[in-house]
Amino acid sequence: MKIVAPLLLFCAASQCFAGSLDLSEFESSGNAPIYVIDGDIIYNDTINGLTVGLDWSSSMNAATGSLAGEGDYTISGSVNSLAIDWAGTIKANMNVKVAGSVVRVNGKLTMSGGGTVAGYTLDRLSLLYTFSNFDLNPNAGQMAGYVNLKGSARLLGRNVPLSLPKTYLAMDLPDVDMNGQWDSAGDWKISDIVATVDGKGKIAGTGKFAVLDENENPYDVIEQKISGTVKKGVVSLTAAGNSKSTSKIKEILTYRESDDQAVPKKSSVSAYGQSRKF
Amino acid sequence: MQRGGSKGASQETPANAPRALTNSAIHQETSLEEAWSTALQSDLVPRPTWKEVQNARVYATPRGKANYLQLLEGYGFRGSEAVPCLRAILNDPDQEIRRAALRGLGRTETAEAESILMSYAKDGVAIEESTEAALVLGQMGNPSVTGKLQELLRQAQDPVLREHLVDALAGRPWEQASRFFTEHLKNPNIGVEEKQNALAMLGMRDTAPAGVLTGALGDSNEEVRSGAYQGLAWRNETAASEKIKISLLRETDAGIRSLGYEAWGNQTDASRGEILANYRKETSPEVRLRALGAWARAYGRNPVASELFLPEAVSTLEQVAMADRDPGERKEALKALQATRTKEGNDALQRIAEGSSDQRIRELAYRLSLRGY
Repeated sequence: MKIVAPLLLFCAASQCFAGSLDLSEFESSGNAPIYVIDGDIIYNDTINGLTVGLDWSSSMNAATGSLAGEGDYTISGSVNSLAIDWAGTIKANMNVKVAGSVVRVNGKLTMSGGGTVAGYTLDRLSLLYTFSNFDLNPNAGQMAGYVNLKGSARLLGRNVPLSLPKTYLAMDLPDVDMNGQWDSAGDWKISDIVATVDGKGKIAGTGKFAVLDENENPYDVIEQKISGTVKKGVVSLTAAGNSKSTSKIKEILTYRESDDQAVPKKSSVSAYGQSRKF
Repeated sequence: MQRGGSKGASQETPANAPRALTNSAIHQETSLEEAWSTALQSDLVPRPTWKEVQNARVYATPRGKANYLQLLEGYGFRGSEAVPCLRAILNDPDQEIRRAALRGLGRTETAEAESILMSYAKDGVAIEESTEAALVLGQMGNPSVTGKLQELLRQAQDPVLREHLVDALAGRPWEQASRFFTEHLKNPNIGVEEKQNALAMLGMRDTAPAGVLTGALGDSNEEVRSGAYQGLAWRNETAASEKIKISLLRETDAGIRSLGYEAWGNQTDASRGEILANYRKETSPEVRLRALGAWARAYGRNPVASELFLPEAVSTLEQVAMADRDPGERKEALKALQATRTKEGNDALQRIAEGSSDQRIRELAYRLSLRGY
């Protein structure tokens, strides 16, 4: 945690006087990353003789960690001499969850469209990729794991079920560079803090929370209310979204007033379906 | 019957082609189904040898390590022969490697692996590994795993582990898990957040009948209802517009109303006229945007040439996309514009791609405009 501007609490010895809080912003320092998967996800690979191309635009809900997107796909090639040529649209629904240091993505890609099998035209094609336990690997710039593919096609007037064995899929995260580096470090900040402190050391005010991309642009800006106390030289602040839908976007910051150092394991951040203690 | 040419180009059916299948067509169909069946049953899953796994053990880059983790997991597809080595890897000092071994054990589909994973999916084990074991168990084929996951849930206290156990159960076949979820959602001792998550995940997994989700819209707790809305927003092929519309009448919180509209727009029977009538009554900008998004999705599914509201919808969305202070809201507006699947929406995306001051918005607008209409 980096405190950009110190609290000016108008304190003298143990006594505090009412006044405004001149605190500009808090910046995370990398030990409590919040990852945002936002942008174009492009996947091109050959799986079991089939050339698979996926291209979809993803955006993430700050309050729930759910990920939604739409795009296109193509699947072509041959499986056991059976020529396949499919194309259509993708609808993605996923969510992100954290367990300790692990960030996982679960969800599905629903694909619809048409194409041919062995030269026969499919009247309808519906495919469902299910991601059951994808690891988000920021170091490798990927989310990867085994997927299930099932679906159905209408072929020669009959419904044909489709099912393929589990397949490993490693998708580059948005904005990964040529070397596989993901620029998103999960940095976040609370800015535009306007708060007051009363004579009893009670803090109240507002601020804005944002996770930043590689260019320090915010993915979302969450209006927050700030509350807290100053007691025995320790500042405890809670910033939370100011509506019920954003109330789970919350930061708890605890630090010593004397040297601006965080009290270990007493601070946390929750947003985009992820919670981190630091 | 149509026979397509190469690269998806279909040929016209001859005018004199029989509508019923002829002997020749039946023969072709049978051959095709046999070939199809053979193709799908063929052994497509790569099964690395232990030597191949070992060779990948020394890596210099994060992607090299990712490759090693993939091979470890894939080694599990060799079945029971993989269990001893994977079990030994559980002592590795690197947690990522231990978790890959847990996944590999799940792939073996053996009773021994089940037993090991059961011992990991408990309180007191590092949360990264206990949740991994829970999720891996959820992916195993043995039907008896469903009951074992329920037993683990009864024992678990840690809310994060409990959430992952419920996620694992949501992926089980509905005929195995229906009784559990019916009781779980009614149980007054289960917290609302856990019920909320269960409903959302049932929608995500497409396992439960839509009635389970629409039934929860009648719950007295709004967090439970928000889980049902989320599930209905994620569920494929549901037609629950009427129930969502009625349920929205009682919702006062802007966030939950927004989620309600997301669910409504996802319904196959969503009527754009009804959504529009509701949109007109909304006052919160956040809710109005989601209502417009729902309208756009309903319209995009069944576009008509003379939709009078379309210019107003596109203009409003374009304004939000260009001027809203919250980049998240601007992105929502872009997605709604694309969802209209119209030239008007696409033109607006192109204007935003050229004129927005926000680089991320320009890029997203450009990409969405390429999707066409």
